Amino acid sequence: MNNLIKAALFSLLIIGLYTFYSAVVIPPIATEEQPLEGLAGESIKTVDDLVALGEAVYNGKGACALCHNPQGGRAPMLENSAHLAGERIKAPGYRGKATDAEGYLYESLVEPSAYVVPGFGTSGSGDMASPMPDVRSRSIGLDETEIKAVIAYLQSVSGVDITVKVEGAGE
Amino acid sequence: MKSVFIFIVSSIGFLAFFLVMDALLLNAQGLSFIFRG
Amino acid sequence: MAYSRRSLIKLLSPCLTLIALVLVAYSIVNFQSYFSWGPESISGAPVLGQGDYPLVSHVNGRLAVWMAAQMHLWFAAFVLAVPIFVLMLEVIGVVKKEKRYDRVAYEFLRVSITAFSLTAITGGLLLLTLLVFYPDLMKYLLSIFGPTTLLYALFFFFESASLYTYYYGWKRMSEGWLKWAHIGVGLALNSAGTALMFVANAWVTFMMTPDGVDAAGVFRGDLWAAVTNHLWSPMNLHRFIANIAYGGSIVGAYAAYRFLGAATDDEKAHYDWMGYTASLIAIGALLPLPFAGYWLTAEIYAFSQQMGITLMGGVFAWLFIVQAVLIGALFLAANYYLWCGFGRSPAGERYLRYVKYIAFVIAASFLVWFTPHTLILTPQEARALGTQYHPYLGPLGLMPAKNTAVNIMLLFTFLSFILYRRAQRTPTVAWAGYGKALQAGLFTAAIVNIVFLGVYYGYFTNSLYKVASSVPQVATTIFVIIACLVIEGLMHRGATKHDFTWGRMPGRSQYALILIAVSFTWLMGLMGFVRSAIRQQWHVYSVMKDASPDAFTPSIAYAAKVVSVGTIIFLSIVVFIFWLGGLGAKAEADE
Repeated sequence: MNNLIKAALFSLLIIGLYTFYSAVVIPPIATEEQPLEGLAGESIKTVDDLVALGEAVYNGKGACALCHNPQGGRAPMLENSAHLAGERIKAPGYRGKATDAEGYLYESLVEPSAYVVPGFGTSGSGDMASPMPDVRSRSIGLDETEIKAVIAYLQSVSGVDITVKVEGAGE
Repeated sequence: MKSVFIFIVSSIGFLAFFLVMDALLLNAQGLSFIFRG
Repeated sequence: MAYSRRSLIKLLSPCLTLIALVLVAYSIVNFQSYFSWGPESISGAPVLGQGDYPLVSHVNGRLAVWMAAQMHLWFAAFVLAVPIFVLMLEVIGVVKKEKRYDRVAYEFLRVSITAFSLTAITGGLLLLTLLVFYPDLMKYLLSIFGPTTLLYALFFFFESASLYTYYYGWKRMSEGWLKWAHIGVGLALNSAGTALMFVANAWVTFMMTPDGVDAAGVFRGDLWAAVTNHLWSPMNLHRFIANIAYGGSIVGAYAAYRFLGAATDDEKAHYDWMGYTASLIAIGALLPLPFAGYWLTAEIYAFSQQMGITLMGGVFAWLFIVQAVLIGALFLAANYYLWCGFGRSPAGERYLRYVKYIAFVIAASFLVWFTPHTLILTPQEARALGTQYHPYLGPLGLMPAKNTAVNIMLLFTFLSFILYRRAQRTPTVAWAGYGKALQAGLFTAAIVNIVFLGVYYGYFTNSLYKVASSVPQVATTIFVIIACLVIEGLMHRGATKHDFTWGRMPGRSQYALILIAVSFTWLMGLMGFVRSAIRQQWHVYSVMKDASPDAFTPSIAYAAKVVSVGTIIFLSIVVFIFWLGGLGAKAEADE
């Protein structure tokens, strides 16, 4: 019995230490809110609304900054993307179908592999395939309004005119 | 003394071997699966 | 008195299995409709609302399922591992013609027999709670995997039959060709158990990386595609190896406990040997586990970058720091146990002076491993960050440092092991000094290479190479281990064996084994949590959303508490099982 009690106390101590470390020592991380459904659409009346929605999606549901950040090296930086878009479509290596900057941004969101910025393709693909998913699919699941909003946001951040059309209230 | 000699030579020799192994492993095509997707 | 106690214990196991079967039968009977499947029942994943989740008063459904699942996994890991050792030990006993291997194999089996029924009960409980609290999810999954449940039932009966034949037939099938037939039954037991795990792995991996269904969840009819999804094979490998490590640790803890309570020197010797053998298996199986984990993570990234980044660079990155603390504790305990083992032989005294240096290196590596350098950020914060900390590259950028530390830890643990073996024998070959110099050269070159890889690729190259550099690091470690073992083996041909006494160990060394078992259990719970949690708001990732009121992703603190409660409950049941096993042995001895 004595040994059982000693072993049990020892085990409880160990378990207690691990629990303490996980619950108290490491910083409490608030898990993200579930991405809200129906975020888009209802209250988009002005371009500013659209840009605000775009920013919310960029940082929230779209999880863009997870890859498009300075330290990752996984994805191009986007702070000047709307401006660069105009140049990209004119570059000799451009394989996509966009004819203007806004179209390029849209294509990059829904068909990222149409054209991959050199150096950012999946390894072994020779920059033919992009690691980015179609934002309408699977786990990101943006709808058309949200995509337009992200484009508007990128244009706003890049300091170019916002060319995305606001379609009145609701979807 | 001979032991010390063997130690020094084998250290350098194995290090050279390891560096070659590193280069091969880091550039092997087979590694590309780590980064795919 | 002894007779009735023994027969009671012998009946307990089949009775518990019967209870498990009743649970399963009850589940099937009450949810009959879910178990009919055919092309007309497949119409895509349902879109659920909060009202679709049945409520049972005073019962948190999610917690109930979590607990049942975790209990089942712990028991299942144990009962899959034990037959592997038992069979191996039985075969070794036959080949070496030494009875003690056979005896200890039988003891392992006897001690664990009740665990099989508990695995079945917790499995039945898991099925029931899933059907009660998540009926629509189960309906959907069964519409796809229905045929596999038949396979599962078949393997289960096959496993039970071979288990009882293997156990009850041990004494009677002990000579001649019957012994080989017995070994065949053991092989069947292992195959059935492994097959069971592979089938169940298909269900759980499908929930994470679904295949064979389109974006709306409509099943194309290709069951094989659904089974062989991205994570199936890595999960199979990881669980197979991890089970061995885990089973070894539990048996080691059993031996440690019996050692502490041993009355005679013979008993002490027996349990000391058992503990050492079990720990060798546990720590040995621990070594390849990072590869399996690496493959698992690579496949997660391949399926969904987002899921991968959530796992490694997002909210759950801190969880891997906690994992590092646990692994560090495991290594410290394993090393401590080995150092105590120097004392089994008086010639081991000469190596005690090295212990402080090895301890220093291991502790330093441990500190590198769990020092938090990184801030774990939500996507919002990642954007806003400046240059001082590296949010995404942070965890990744520290990977070289952590990989460096773990490889150094592995090497020095291996050194402890070499010294432990040398405590028992002195080489007589003329070139022993040169052999040792060669090994020292190997070690030195390896340490330099590992540190170089970690520092250079960690701080001077881009992210792709940061991860890739871990491969040559591990290759270096493995090369050194194999090469040193070869040199060691050749060097000790005809070596003088020293006076070696099993059982000559301080009591505190056994606590190291208990720590290993407790840590392994807790770690399994933690890893199970992260595997489930990276699904976040999905039942089936990207296909079927979780709309239950409890759908929030729990914090690590919450998960730690749940895992701790589970660990305490599980280990208490294990103590009970071992106590029963001890009673059975006593009853047999009394006859």
